[in-house]
Amino acid sequence: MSPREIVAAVRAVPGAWFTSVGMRDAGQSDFKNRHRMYDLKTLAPFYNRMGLFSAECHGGARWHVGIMNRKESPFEETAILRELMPDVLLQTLIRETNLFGYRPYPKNVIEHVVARADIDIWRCFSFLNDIRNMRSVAEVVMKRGRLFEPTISFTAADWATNGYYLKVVDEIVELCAGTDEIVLCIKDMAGVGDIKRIHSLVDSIKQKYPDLVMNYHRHITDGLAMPALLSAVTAGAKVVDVEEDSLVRFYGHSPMLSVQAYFEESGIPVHLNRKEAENAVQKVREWIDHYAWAESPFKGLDHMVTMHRMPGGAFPSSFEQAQAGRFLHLMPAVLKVMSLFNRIVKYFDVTPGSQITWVTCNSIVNRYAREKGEAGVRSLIDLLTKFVEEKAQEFEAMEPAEQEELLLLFRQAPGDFKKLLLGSYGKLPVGWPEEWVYRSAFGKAWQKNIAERIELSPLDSIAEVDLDSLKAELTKEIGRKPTEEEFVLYLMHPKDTLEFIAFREKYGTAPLVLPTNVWLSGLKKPGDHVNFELEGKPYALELVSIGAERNGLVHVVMRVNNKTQVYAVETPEAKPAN
Amino acid sequence: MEKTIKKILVANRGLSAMRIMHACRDRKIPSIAVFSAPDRLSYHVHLADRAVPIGPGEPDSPYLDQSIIIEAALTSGADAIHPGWGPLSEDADFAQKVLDAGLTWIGTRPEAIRLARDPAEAGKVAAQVGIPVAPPLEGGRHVKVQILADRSGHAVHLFERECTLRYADQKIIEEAPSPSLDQDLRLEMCAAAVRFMLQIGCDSAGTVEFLLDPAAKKFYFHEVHPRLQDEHGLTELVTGLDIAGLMLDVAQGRELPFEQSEVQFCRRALGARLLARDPKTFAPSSGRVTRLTIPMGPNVRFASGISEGSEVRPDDGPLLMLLMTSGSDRPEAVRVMERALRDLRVEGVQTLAPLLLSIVRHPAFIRGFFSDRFIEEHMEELVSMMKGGDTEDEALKIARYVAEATVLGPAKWV
Repeated sequence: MSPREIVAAVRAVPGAWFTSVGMRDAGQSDFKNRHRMYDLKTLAPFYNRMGLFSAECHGGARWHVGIMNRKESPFEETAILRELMPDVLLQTLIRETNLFGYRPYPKNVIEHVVARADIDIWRCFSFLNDIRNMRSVAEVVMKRGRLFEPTISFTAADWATNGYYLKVVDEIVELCAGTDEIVLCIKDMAGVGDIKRIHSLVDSIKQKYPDLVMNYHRHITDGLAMPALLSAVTAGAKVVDVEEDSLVRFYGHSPMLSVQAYFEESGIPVHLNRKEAENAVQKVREWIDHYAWAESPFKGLDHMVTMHRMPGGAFPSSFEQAQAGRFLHLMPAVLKVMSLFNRIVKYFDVTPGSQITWVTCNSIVNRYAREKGEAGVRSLIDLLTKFVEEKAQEFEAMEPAEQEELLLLFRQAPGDFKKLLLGSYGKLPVGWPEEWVYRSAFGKAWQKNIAERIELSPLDSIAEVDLDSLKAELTKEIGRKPTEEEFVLYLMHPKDTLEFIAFREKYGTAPLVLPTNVWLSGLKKPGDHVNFELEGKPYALELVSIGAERNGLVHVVMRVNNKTQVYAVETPEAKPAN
Repeated sequence: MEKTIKKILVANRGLSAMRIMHACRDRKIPSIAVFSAPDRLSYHVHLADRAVPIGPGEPDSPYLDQSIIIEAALTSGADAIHPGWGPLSEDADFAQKVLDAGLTWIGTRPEAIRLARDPAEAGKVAAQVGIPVAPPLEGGRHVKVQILADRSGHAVHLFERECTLRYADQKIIEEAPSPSLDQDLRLEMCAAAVRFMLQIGCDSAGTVEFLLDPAAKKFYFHEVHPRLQDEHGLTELVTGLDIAGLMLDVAQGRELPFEQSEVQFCRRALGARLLARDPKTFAPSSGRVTRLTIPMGPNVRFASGISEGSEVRPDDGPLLMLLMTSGSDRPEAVRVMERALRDLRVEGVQTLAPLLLSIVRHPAFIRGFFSDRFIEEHMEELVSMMKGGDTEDEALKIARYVAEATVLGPAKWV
């Protein structure tokens, strides 16, 4: 189907459609992107008959974590799903010029990468709502005859008015030459849109663009997601994001069976084969226990997300970083500082913005704690509260000593924050921050830095790279000609891709064929075995014995299809012994 | 005068010793292996009926110590020595010492070896029998004629072999008969080789090597090896004759049991050398052979100096195994070679197998249009043709992962 036909078909069916994020965002929000294709693909036969609008199964951080940790390539994943659910539209999430990474890529890299993924629906968002940055992705996707799903990043703030969003939508409609070949997504990544706010926003867009098909994406952390979904659909949104009820935790999306029941009770039909959805929900239960370790130790909903706005996925991982970095006790302060920071420097807390906010704020709080103790942290919060809430951010209204302190606030801020101020990612949604922020970040050089601030989109400001020489570089690194797909991985994440390729050369398709318990910890005791298929032929591995450690080596005897094989495994003690 | 050999000491190791021991078994003559200390558990020691230690093996190889070898034969009750192929087989002094010790020398008699291995003398003999001696020749091809002779002065040729591909001073692929000869030139060359061998008095197996100018259809004398050569199996495949066995027969004074007119070839054979080398870089490889699956099936002959568990040491010769295939024509032999190379599995030591597989799959090699610089000219292409391996390789990689996960538990990236 062409994009125009897809859009027309979605419009024609009364009621609501579902996008299942069970294969991507569900895993990202609550399970660190560790859900393996081995398990996810068990859902594919149900998806194929479920009547979904689309299945989000690609992009976001799943792409990078696949290369880095799960050791499965997004190309393999797409090919597997394509075969098992040929009737489902496969959807990705792409970060405009930041693609599947964290910083802007040159235009020719963007074009190269986007042209090579077999994806039907391209949900493309900008953490700055800088629609200029979407141009290359839009062009390549639309030229390939795939469906472009431009996305507005949503937050609740005094500056984030319907008027503001309508201007963003205008830019999108202009970029895509109308509303007949796109679906517009409203990405509420922290889940802060309340019933009235969302109704009003969808309604105002609908008033201006009555034919525009809209999809509402909303995380559940505040505990109020389902009413917000209903509100969006009542106002005219056509598609909402859901996941298997058995995957729902605290930071992801609403349960599909519940949403279906809730919508239908409210008089809105849902295009869903309930039986197949129930089967998928049940199927998840067969493997989800293997991922308990990947769940956040910090469980529970948090309505305070409406203040600090840390999005699903980032929220639990920030707690874990805090625990690992021994500043868990400072988390309330960090979240408080974030809720004030995001009123000073205005952009959307979604990748890479959410990381910039997190790193910037936790480093400020940690610095205060280190230098001035808990009292210092309290005084920091008092200072920012006074500045933002009492003085309405009027710098001159602060006492001279307070001004001095603010002027040092961002001096040691991370490089990515400073790049953001300098326009490296694009223009900020409601203009550049106040002068004092530049004075604070750059010190004496602040005027020079403002003068050099980039007003162009990264698409126009970043020099193209020589793809041939990069390919030659990769060829040299791996000692052979890379495949087209390996080259795309390399363009995105060079260092991790080299490790990925080396891993796969050593361990083959282990990440794709091994059941998750074996993938995680091997075979437990002699006699345990694991079966798998390679190219349609059966293989069996059986553990015969594990030797005692000697000189940093353990010998493992295995039977591979009944033939004995001995593996010498180096233990961590092997290195010092050498 | 016939005499019966009762026990043969095989003065060699690896592939060469294996071949002679097989011949001994075929003739029901017990064989005795010699071994240096590091070779205690080698395949050839295992295959022999008895084995004699000949020293520590370091720093010098005791296998080339002539007096130790003769001593070993005498003390172990052998009445004959077969040197296999290698330095001792072409050493006239050693052959003489064996005879002087009262033992039977299985090979060409010392006087003939002496003539054959002296380039000036050999050149003179060539001239006497009417073979021009090689001028410096660009692009000349090396063609060798296999000769068998007995002590009654009867000599026959078993047609020729050609090393069609070499690389980095190593023979890689050989064929029999030569694809570069027509029948007239073949018969002319073979007759010249027989004349030469009769003239020097060869009375065992040997090879006369010619340089061929294919364009001018001329050949020149190059050199002569009065011994068994490692690739003799190709000639055995195309003629159906057992050269190593016949060597044992003629050493016992028996006459060759056939005439020249009875020697026919009706098949084509291909031989691939499985060197212990990195197939992409040719860097030497060594280590323990952890798995060895030998190819089987019709028209495959496999000769190996190693077995599963063998240790391939850096100072061992590079030739681990020879894979020979035959067919009714050259394309059939090439196809069998491809099948056999696919079935072969060697782990623990790198071999040229992946390169050989690329070669036998290359259209130019299949068609027979190639120069002896083929590998150099096509190396990059041949490397790019190497596949990542089959499902069996894949399963072993996965098993390695499971073994490591079993010992080490969840990796840090999980």
